[in-house]
Amino acid sequence: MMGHKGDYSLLGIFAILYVLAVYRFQTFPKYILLVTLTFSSTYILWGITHHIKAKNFHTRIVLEYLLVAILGMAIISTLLL
Amino acid sequence: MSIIGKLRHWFIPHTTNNFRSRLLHNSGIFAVIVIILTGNVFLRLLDSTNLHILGFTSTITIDEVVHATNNERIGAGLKPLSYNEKLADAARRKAENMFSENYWAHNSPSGKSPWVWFKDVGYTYVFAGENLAKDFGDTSRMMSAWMASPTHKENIINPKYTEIGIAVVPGTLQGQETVLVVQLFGAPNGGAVSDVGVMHASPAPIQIAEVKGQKVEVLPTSSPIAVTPPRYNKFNVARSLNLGTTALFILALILDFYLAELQKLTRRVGDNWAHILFINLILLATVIVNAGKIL
Repeated sequence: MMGHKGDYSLLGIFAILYVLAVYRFQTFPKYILLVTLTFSSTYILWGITHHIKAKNFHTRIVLEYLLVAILGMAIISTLLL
Repeated sequence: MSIIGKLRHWFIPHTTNNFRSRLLHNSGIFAVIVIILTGNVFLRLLDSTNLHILGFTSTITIDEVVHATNNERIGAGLKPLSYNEKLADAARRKAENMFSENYWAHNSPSGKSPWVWFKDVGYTYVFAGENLAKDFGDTSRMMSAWMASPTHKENIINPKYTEIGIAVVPGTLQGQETVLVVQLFGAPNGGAVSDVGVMHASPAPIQIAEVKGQKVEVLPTSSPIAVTPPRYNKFNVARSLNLGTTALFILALILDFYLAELQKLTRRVGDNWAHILFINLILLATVIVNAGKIL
């Protein structure tokens, strides 16, 4: 984990931006969905980049990040739609 | 396989699951997604029946809204607003009109602006404003939503206002059970402020409708609103279902990470810490997100 400080810092920045956006748009479901979709997509890209840099990339891992991102979208969308 | 064996298989890296908690395999994550989606479909089906187990409930009271509004003002270094019965009456008339004309807006489909209700109750003002909210389960979430919106916040901490009137009215709006909250602000004519103006809602020319004699049901000044008390709030039930299911997933991630580190396992899998952070942020968002709407 300590060997990827840059990666984790970047993920931390995305996380802060996401929480701020959710707070700002807390009563606008469409915006929340859009922000969560953006965050989820960014998370998949982050995962791919992170594992390529860590030299342990595999297509199965891409699917794992995709499913975790879909799980996030399912949690939010079932509440808002 | 015994129950303990099954739990170990689903949550702990072991030879039976190729040293990765079964719940964290792609098929396991897919199963979590399916559980959340089918659970929510079931809740919606339950909501659409006549069993009245799920529904909309709210604990908002007028006293709480006035108190919370004044707390925000005191926090901003302003004087608290005094409660005005005429403004409260205007707010009740506005809420009743929203239900009867079935709209969610500052101006009614028949062209009535918010200021019609001020005039109707004989409240003359130099400054006035209106905040609206619906579908909120409690006062604190509603206040949080208003304070997160610059235009609503501007009304709440506007130094020009001296009085407030609130209506909390349950009913059915656009086919949905809800509780409408109308928050009216005013600075009465004859006060210290001399400029004439209105805040937040559009000061469009007012088409005054004849509403004399209109029957307006007056609610008690402060009463907890629970549309049907025995029922559960469907938004909260859905949120609990999602939180509970996801908590198991997070538990699996933590156990898997800890035990893999302990056993120094080398695996080609996703980053557990990143997954934990991502899912927890989503859960945090579900806590922040409001079922309610403001206008």
